[in-house]
Amino acid sequence: MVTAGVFMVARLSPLFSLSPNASGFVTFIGATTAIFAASVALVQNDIKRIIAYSTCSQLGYMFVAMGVGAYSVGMFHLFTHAFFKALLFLCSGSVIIAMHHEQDTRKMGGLWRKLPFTYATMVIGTLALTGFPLTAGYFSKDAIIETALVSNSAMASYGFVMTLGAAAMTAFYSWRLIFKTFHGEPHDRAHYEAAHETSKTMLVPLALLAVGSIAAGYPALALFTGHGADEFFRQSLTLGPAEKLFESAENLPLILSLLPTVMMIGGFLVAYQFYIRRPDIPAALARDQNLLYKFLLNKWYFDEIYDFLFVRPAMWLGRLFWKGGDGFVIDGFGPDGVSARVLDVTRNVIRLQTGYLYHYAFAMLIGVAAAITWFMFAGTH
Amino acid sequence: MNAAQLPNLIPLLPEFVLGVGAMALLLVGVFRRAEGERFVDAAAIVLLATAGVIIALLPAGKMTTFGGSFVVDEFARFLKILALLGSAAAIAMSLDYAKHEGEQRFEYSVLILLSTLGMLMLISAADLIALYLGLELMSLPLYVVAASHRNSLRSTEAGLKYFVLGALSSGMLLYGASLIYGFTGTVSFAGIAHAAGQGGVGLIFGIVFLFAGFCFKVSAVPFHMWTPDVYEGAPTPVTAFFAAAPKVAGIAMFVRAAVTAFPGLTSQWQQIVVFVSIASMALGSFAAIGQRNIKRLMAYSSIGHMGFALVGLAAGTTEGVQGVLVYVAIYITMTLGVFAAILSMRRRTGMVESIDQLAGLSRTHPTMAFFLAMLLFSMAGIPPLAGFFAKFYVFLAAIKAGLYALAVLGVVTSVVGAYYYLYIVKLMYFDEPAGKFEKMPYELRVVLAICGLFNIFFFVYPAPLVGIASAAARSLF
Amino acid sequence: MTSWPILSVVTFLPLAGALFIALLPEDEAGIRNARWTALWTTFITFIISLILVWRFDPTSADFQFVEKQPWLGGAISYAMGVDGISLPFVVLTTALMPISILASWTAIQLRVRDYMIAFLVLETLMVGTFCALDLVLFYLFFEGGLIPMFLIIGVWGGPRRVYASFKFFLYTLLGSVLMLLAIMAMYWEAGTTDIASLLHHSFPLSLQKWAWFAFLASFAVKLPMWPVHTWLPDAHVEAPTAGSVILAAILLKMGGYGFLRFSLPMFPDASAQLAPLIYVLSVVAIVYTSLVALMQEDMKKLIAYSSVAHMGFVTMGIFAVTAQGVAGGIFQMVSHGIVSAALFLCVGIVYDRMHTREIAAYGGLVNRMPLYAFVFMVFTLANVGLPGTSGFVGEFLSLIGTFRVNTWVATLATLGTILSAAYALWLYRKIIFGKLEKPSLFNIKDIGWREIAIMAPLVILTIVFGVYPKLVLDISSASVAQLIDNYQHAVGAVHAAALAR
Repeated sequence: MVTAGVFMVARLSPLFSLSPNASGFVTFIGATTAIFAASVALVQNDIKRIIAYSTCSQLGYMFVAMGVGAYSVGMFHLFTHAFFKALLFLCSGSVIIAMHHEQDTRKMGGLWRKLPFTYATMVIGTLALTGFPLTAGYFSKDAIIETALVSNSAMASYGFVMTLGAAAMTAFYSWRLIFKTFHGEPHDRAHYEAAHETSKTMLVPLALLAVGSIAAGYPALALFTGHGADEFFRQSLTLGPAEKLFESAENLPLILSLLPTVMMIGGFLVAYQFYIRRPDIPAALARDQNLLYKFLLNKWYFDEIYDFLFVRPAMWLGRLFWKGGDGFVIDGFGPDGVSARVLDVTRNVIRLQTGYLYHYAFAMLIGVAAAITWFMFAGTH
Repeated sequence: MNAAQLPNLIPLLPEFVLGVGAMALLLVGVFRRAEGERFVDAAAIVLLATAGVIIALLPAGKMTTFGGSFVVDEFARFLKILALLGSAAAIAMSLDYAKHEGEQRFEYSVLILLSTLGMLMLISAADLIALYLGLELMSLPLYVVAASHRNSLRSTEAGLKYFVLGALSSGMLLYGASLIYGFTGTVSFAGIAHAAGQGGVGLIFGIVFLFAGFCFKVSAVPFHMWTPDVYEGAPTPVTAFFAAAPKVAGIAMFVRAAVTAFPGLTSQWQQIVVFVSIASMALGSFAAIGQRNIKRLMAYSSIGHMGFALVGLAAGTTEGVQGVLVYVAIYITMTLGVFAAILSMRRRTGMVESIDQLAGLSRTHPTMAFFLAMLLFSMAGIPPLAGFFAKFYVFLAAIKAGLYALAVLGVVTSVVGAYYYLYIVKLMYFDEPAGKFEKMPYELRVVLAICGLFNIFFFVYPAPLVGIASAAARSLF
Repeated sequence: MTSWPILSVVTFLPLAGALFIALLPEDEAGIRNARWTALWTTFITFIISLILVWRFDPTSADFQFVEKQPWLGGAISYAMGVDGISLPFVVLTTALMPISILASWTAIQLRVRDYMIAFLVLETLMVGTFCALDLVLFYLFFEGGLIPMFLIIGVWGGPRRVYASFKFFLYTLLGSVLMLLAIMAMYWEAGTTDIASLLHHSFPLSLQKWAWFAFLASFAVKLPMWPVHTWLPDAHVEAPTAGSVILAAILLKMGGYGFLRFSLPMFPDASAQLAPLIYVLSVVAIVYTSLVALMQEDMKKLIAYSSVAHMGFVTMGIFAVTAQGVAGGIFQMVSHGIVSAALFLCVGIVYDRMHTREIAAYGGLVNRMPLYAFVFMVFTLANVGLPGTSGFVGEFLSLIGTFRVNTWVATLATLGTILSAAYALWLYRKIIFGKLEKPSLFNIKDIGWREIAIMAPLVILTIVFGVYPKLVLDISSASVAQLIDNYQHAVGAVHAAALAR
């Protein structure tokens, strides 16, 4: 469901390909999202939240591909991502149910013995997510990074650097999740004892998705990228600019096309160091770099910024318009004000009716005198 | 004098009947004393009805007599019948009141008859002397009946104020008439119109004084100041009478004089009428807000209504006069209906006059409250009631005549004025009841029902009244 | 066409019902009969109005089912007729009346007869407004509706009902009397008040401008437009539930209808010149009132402000005078009629139970009232303008229609959509979601059969119109096309004349 936006950009590819500025903007947003979400996922503690930010990050990847004109590549990642992300979510669901609705990874640990099947499928999903060679994710993710590299614009280069960095982070947080959840010592003994694998109704879909996470890659590669794309997509996407990119991508030097894999390995190793071999490092690092840690934990304070920039001012404006606008100005000068003035006039007019006969007679004489004066000077023309 | 020089008395038949009848009833009353009172009241109403029938049966077309000073045209017919209706209703509505207050005097009906006689004369007057004659004949009985509650301070005060100020205004009117005579050499309206030509400051002065007298009778600002005090002080049936028939006659006098005597000077006297009209509408709207005595409130309301009626006169066109006539006709029904309700505001302890006494009337007397509410909305000029059509026609004429500022001010003041009508409706419908009134007398119920139904259903078939008014207006030009 | 005066029947049948109720006695049986009479009368009126739809010829832009009788003499006649622009509103009125009567079934216990009479009289006046083909007749019905509404708010309303009813009455009256003067001026200039003839009459520009402003004074207050909207929150909050329903669903639409029937076709040049003013007011209305709605603590007030915002879309779309804009305006009015009526009914449902409209008094209702939560959700989404509900179609068409003429206005107006999502969903969350913590709510009952009967048709209509808007758009398309056509001609003619000089 989240990918509707990606779908929309792909559908509107003829429009986007007409505007380099719009496309560049898309790339920028995609790349920034990729790195932003990945950085936030580094320190989150809720199992689903990590996967959610991972989704966000992968969507950024798709946007990068769209932005550089490789719409079909973005769609490819959309396609493969569906498999392994759904797998990861369902696996985490399995874990959560097993742990009696506990979602905090700090309370988990050592579950590989208790939930072997979930563990296995989740590892497969993680492998696909991080782009382990020959998984589905490997093909689609690397295709994005490569097309970003070969695309010649500043924004595309930015996209390349960001997606590369995000690849490292992705590997890190994905394996962090696995290690914290399934390895090490259980942090909540009671829940751990009670944990057991869920029923087959849950496990069968996991298996299917695991298969898809591996198998959906290579066979579809030709359809989405390269020369099969034309046949497959026909008129539904604009493929023109992408064709050049595919050709250049095929001719990349090996070292460049292996960069994503290198990043993945690097991320894995760091996660292994932090969470298996020296579990004290993460806590120490969090304490030392407290500001950075807080910044990432609070999602770059986006919610707070939005609240400050949009929500508070809107509410302030709303109150201002309500009490100040409607209440003071409009009602004050309008109905309430007018009725108050009317009452003022009434009060003064009533005073004219004094009850004294000679006042009344005087008023009549004044009336006549005024009329006479008027006609003497103004009226008789 | 020989028969050939006797003026044609046929047009005067209604007045004749009234005059002779009034004298006869006076004699009856003197001789029969207390037992005669009921008879006199009933006979008075019959006389008024007879006069009305005679007027309707008079030959069609314009008839003049007494050397052109007495004219019976469609205009006169229409307004005379209205005046007769008003007077008859006023007498009918006073019957129960007189019984309760113990103020039954046969002179009351006779005085009303005589005043009505004066009104009929006034409506037909086509020269200044006849006008003054009719005016005085109409007014003198009014002064007397205003003070007819001899033991009431307020009534005496009302009568005295009315008399003194009325005398002042009569004097001003007469002075104006003399100025006009001086500058034109004739008193007949037709003759004045002929001789007036382009006007001249002297003639205009005369018109100003004359109109001052007219405005007094019609309660137009700034000659209105007698109205609140007199309406409040006079006995309520008398107030009902004041609010209805004399206004008809006053308007008739005003319109006929302005239109037939000074047709060439419309752009001059129009200015007076415009000012007076705006001031009356405004005062009538603003000053009534916050009034607690319902008779005083109705006084201001009638000042406002006269302001609206004068909008039609300010236009000075046939449509304008038509508007005035429609307005006056509908005004009579509204006023009589409301006063019928006011006269029913009697508790065991006596008559009450505060509007707060009407609280919750919709629950204690639903039908009365309903009719009263409809009449109030009609007074406010809300469609589909008749009062809307009244305002519609006068403003229609004003727009055609190009008096845009007058029209805008008029409608805006009518919105302001709507407030206090709504306030009374609010008291009746939204508030807790203040207690039941005594049973509503039969005559009052009839008057309220007829007036209420007329106002409610006028929109279904308005053509007859509008058509007659139009014919009446055209007969003046 | 029919051989019998169907429009007069649809208009005056409720009045006949009212007269019948007036004759009923004041006892228990009388009250029961009053309710049933009102229900049957309004229901039969609705069925007859469906005959109108069935026999209506959507391909013709002329007035249909025309009746004409002499009335006030001169050229002012009793003329009734409907076209594609007025028919949707007639049916909207007749459809919502039985629902309102049902909604008042148990809520009104005091003076039930008077209440039913007031509602039936109001229905007559509302239907008459949309059917009237004579300016004076239109004014009569238009203004006449003030009296029953004033009484409904003032007698059966909330604590501040007196203030609200007076404000409503006097505010609306002031705008309308200025319109009356304009009508008179038009009568003298054109020689008739017959709307069908006036649609082909071209008024001089100076008169057009004044008349346009005078009509604006009246319709802007009625709609309401910013800044003359402040009577609406008070009136809505204080009126009884069914009163709010009718006020929001029908009375407001008379303003929009007025713009479509009078301001655009009769004063095309003035409209073209002054459209920017309307755009500014519309955008301000949308953004301003949406922001205010965000801060409300009273449910009804929130929905009231939301109504003002939605009407901003209507005025914007109408004065864009493009096919999509006008059609969008009409559709938005119909949709808003259904949706806001439903929202007020939803508020009424919980108010009947808890006798408070404060948002803070509720929370977690989904736990005990799941059916209600579903119904409320449908209308919340429609209010937001979610595709699939009728709310989307109207807003979308209005925005498209305006975008073609003025991109800034459309862009700013779209901001309002975001804000409407904010306050609508916020309201829903506060009331429905969460835990059921307040003791006062522990025993609250879900909606019963009568309430389902009221809400079900509205739910169905919202969704049906959302996925198949053709039902409404087809009826209005011919008349809208002709309206725009005539408008373009008139404006083009003035331009040509100006150039030729």
